[in-house]
Amino acid sequence: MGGIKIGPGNSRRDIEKKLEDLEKQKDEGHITLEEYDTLRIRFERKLGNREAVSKLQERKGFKPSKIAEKKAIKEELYDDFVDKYAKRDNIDAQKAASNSLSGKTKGLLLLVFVLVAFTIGIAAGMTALQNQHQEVISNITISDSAFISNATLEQAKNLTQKNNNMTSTNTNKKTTTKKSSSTYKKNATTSSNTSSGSGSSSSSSGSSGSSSSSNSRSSSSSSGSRSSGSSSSGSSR
Amino acid sequence: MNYKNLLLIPLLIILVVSLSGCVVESGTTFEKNGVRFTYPDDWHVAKSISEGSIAAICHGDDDKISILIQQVPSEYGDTIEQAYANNNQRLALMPGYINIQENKTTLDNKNLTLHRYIVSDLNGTQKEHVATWTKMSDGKLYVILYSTPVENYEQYKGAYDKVVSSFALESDPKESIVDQIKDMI
Repeated sequence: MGGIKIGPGNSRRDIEKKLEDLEKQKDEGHITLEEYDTLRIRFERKLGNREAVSKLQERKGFKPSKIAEKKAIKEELYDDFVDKYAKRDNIDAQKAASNSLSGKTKGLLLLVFVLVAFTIGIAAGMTALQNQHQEVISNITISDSAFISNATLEQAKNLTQKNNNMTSTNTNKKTTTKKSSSTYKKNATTSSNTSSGSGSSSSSSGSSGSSSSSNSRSSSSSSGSRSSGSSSSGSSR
Repeated sequence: MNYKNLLLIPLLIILVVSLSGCVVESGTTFEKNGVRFTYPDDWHVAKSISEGSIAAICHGDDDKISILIQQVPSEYGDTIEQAYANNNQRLALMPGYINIQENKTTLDNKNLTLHRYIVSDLNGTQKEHVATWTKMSDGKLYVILYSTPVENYEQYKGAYDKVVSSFALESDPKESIVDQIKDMI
């Protein structure tokens, strides 16, 4: 281009001077018409002559329709930019709204979680503990029973009778040793009488006469304890 | 979820585990012959030759300490009162019979008739018994008999209480977790 320069700090007067120089150079043919137009547009813009600028631009080939198109594109871009920000604002607003909603549901969810965790924990604990203990089966046979069958009753009666017989015999034996030798025969006959009639009278004589002996026998023999048991039950009732 | 909630989770897990341990009854469950009950781990399942017996357990290997579940034979009567009275008539004839206590109570909507007595067994040992009579939902009468030497009665009574409180028919619905928590509370 030519020797004219446009600096940022040029004053209005300098620009007018430069314009005059530009006219001279054009007239003298130092610069082309195209260069002249370009520089003139610049100077006129600097001077703030909009009308002159637009006229020059039109002359140079810049159509107003093109300018309008560019403006429209710019506006579109601007609108897009604004829309994007508007969308972001909407999203933020929605987020804020959802946050306030989730605050309420959060509590409910936590409660549900606690209940579910509780249920699972208990179920797991139960199964774990129940699996640990396995049934141990022993070979022991238990003879106890809540019911008294006829057979048991008979057995018990027979045992009682046996015990009473044994008790009465022992009692008589003790008494005979205490007696003198002169009365031995007499006592021997009485003892045989008692033992023979034990079915009817031994229970009374046995329980009353041999309470001390039966008690002393309870530790040594099982039959003794049974007879003492019967006497104690009788007394307790 | 904020940090407070994150801290709550492990605390809840600990709470759940500890509570589940408390809720669940310790012990072994017997579930056979139509009945179900829980008994302590140191008791073992045993055999029984007694009339109407459907379950028997004993402490360790000691056959003298036992709990027996029996179904009341029909010849004793259809009602608890009838069967109980009939059996007591026979029981009174047993050697060494001492009647200690007779009582009626209710446990978990079950009417129980309790009879505590002493009878000498065939070996001559004085044994203390608690017979718990009850009528179950199947319409049958059952007796839970706790037998022990007199001197061991208090020592093993806990096992008997456990069996009685957990006694149910196999067909009965099992206690739900919610019920167990309710019981615990």
